[in-house]
Amino acid sequence: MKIKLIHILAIASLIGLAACNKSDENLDVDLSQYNYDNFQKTEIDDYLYNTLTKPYNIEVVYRFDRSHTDIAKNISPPNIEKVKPAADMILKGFLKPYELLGGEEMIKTYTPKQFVLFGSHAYNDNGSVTLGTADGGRRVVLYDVNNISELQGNDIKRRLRTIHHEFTHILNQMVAIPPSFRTITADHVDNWLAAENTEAEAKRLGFVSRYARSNFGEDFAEMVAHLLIEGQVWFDNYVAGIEEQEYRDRIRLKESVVREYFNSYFNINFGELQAEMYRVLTEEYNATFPEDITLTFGYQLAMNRVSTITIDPTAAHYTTYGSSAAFNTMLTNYNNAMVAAGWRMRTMQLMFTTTPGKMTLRIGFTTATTTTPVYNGDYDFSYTVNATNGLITFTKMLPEGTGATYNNGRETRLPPFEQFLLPYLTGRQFIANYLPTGITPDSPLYRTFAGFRENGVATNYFYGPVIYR
Amino acid sequence: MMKKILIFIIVPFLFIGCNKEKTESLFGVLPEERMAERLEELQSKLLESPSGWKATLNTGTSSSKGAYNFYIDFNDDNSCKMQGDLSSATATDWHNSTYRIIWAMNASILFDTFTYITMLQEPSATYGGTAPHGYRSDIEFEYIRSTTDSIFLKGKKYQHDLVLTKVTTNAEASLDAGEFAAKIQEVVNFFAENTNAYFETGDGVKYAVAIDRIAKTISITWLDNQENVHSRTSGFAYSLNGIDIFQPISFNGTWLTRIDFDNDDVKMVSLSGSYEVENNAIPILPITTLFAANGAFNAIVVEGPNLPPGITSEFNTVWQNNINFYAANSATLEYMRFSLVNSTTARLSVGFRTQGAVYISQAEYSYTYVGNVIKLSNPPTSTNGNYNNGWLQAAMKNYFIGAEFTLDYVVSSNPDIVNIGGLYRTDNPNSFFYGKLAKL
Repeated sequence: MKIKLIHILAIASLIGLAACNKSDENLDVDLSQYNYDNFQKTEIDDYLYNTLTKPYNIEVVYRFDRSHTDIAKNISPPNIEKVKPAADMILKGFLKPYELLGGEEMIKTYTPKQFVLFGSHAYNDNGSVTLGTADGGRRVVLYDVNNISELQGNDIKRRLRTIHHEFTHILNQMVAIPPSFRTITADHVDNWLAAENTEAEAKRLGFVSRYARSNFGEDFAEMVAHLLIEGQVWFDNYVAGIEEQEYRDRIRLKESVVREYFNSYFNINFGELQAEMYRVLTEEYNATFPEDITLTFGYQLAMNRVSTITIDPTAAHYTTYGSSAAFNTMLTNYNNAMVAAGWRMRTMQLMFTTTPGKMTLRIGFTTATTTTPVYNGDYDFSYTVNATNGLITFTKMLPEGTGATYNNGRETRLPPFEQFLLPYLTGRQFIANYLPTGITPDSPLYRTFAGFRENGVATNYFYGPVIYR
Repeated sequence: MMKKILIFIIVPFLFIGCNKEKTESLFGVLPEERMAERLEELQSKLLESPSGWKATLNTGTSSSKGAYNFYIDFNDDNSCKMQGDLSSATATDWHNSTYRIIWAMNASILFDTFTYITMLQEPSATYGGTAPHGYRSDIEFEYIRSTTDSIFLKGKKYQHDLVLTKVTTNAEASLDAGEFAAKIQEVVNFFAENTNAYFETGDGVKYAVAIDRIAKTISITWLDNQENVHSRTSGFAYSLNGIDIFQPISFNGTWLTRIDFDNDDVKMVSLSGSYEVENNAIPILPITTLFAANGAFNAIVVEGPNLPPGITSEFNTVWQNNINFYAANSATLEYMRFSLVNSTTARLSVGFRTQGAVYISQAEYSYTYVGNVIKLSNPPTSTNGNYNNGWLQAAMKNYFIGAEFTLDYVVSSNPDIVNIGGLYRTDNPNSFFYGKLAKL
């Protein structure tokens, strides 16, 4: 009987429950009736599906949805015609290069899964504008899509730098930035927008941009983005422009950690990735890249890699490539004064010593009537040279050195040296360069001659064969 | 006994279960059904008009940014095409874009890719707005209600009304033919040629009509029988018919709603009738009725370093010399204002910026104002430090000290430059100081 009772109770309960079920009917929300945000697909939606969604599992949101950005700001949607160029840029300038160098699996695993496009900038309270943001390694928001143009290579670079910057953060979330990178510098600042954190100050301290000073994570991302998009030559130029060796070393160290990071953890040859980015940017977007200033003569001088430049007024190359009348007049006047004193100038040599910033001017001379023996007269100068633009100034060093050649110099410097050579060299600012201009970069003789041209006076210059150290 | 116990146990269960079944929808149908219904209502309403809609939208936090009209034709595939009265190009070429209907607290329409209406919403100054808020306008609109020929929507952020009214079936052909831009040009030309436009209602008063194309405002000004000046101003937008007055102007017991332009036939339309707009040989309101210390205007002002364009006066040289003088001293001119402070005191005030701060050179004169002649005292009754220490060139000072001016309107060769007043030197009518008429 007890068992029966339990059975009956169970049946009764079921009836009760069934009844209760019914009572919820009006409270259930049927979402199939409530598809609140769908829209008809168009041509561009098919394109996005076939190029990004299907192969890479990436959603591209281009239709306005305020929830994808700062709701307090006025931000406009993209022009529908700009969606394809933006999608192509993501594909060609970001996905494909990584796919090529890092492999399909790598890029498909780590790529952000959602790209959101907005037509306008996002304005910040301080007057600056935001170009892009990334959230949680999943979403990248790109602004200002309405101004995208495949013909504006340098603008494309700016946009791709944002994407690569954000992607670096995502990689850093998978494999943390090596501790060795964190310890390279402690010059980060709380507010990177602070007035004292100028472009120049960030550069001086070995940072690739102002923003890189925010923290080591941003530093790393900025390093990657600049190395990939602006290119190695740009980077080398940038490093060359950092004045202090200590900070040049630091940024070089950061660069090596970046290379090692990609090589060790993602099996990507960073140099090849750079080369691929360079190819895409130049071939697809007609972007331009700077010339390598480390190959300029000014840079060679600043790095103390130049040994001598010799001027022999009788040499054949002055006939072939020409010479400066202004310089020749000065030299002739000098020589005439020498002859009047019983000597004759034969050669003039600028000897850049191993001591940085010191140059010894050596005059080879004979007696006025013989061709041998040749004596040398030396005069010491100091100089400062700008590695970036080659601007150089010479200053007379005193006291004069000691020894036979300096004694010779003393003998001849009064009055001809002080009257002609000294004011010529110290009275003006020169630009160090490969001269003469008749030897063009495609000539095998290029960089075998070098010299100095007065800043702003194209007709006043001197040059000769250069010997490097 | 056992059976009775069982019945007592089972029966209450049944009642308890069934009691719950009484959950009822207060609004008749399920919430999602009502949402779907309202979404469907908005969507089908948008598609109802075969030639589309004329959408009128106000911008800005006040009417200062003006009103705009857009002609929109919606398709059922979430695409739409649009023309707008922002520029000649936007009033000529259709722009194709997309929209969608979503539920966000209410049925809403989103213009979700860039189109002409987005030019008002986007934050930059590219399309005439002010960064970072643009024109302070929306692209998301909440569906409020609809009537047979209208849909009433409200901007989600700035709460401006967007009112859609059906257009006639031949309007689309007119838009295809570029008639919208042509009509805008017709309006511009009319006011350029008829600088003293007015209409009459039969009460013997001439009502002056003027538009400011840059601020997109229209004003009606008149003198009543007691010689009192009245003025009404509202935003306006261009339409295929001419001008829509955005907020109809309340006027002698009726409402002015639009001006229809049909070649030479221009009519001010009110709810109770329409009035021919004509041109008067002279300004309807002599400047002297408006310009006084306590008048509708009491000042002539130039904001910024540029005089209003399209006007030739010998004063331009005095002005330019002073601008150059500032440039040479790392300063810029912020404004120059001549005002009648009260019935006896006139003031010349020049603001200039240097080293990040604005300084003022100022002189006050006693004046007489007889007919349309204003005569300033020599010497000024008071001057300030920046006036005396050389920050205003002598030529500029001398232009006003003891000068006798005839007050009059100034007409620019640029039809967009309106409401300019000038002080003509009585000894040389080719030399006059001029600027925007203002009330300070």
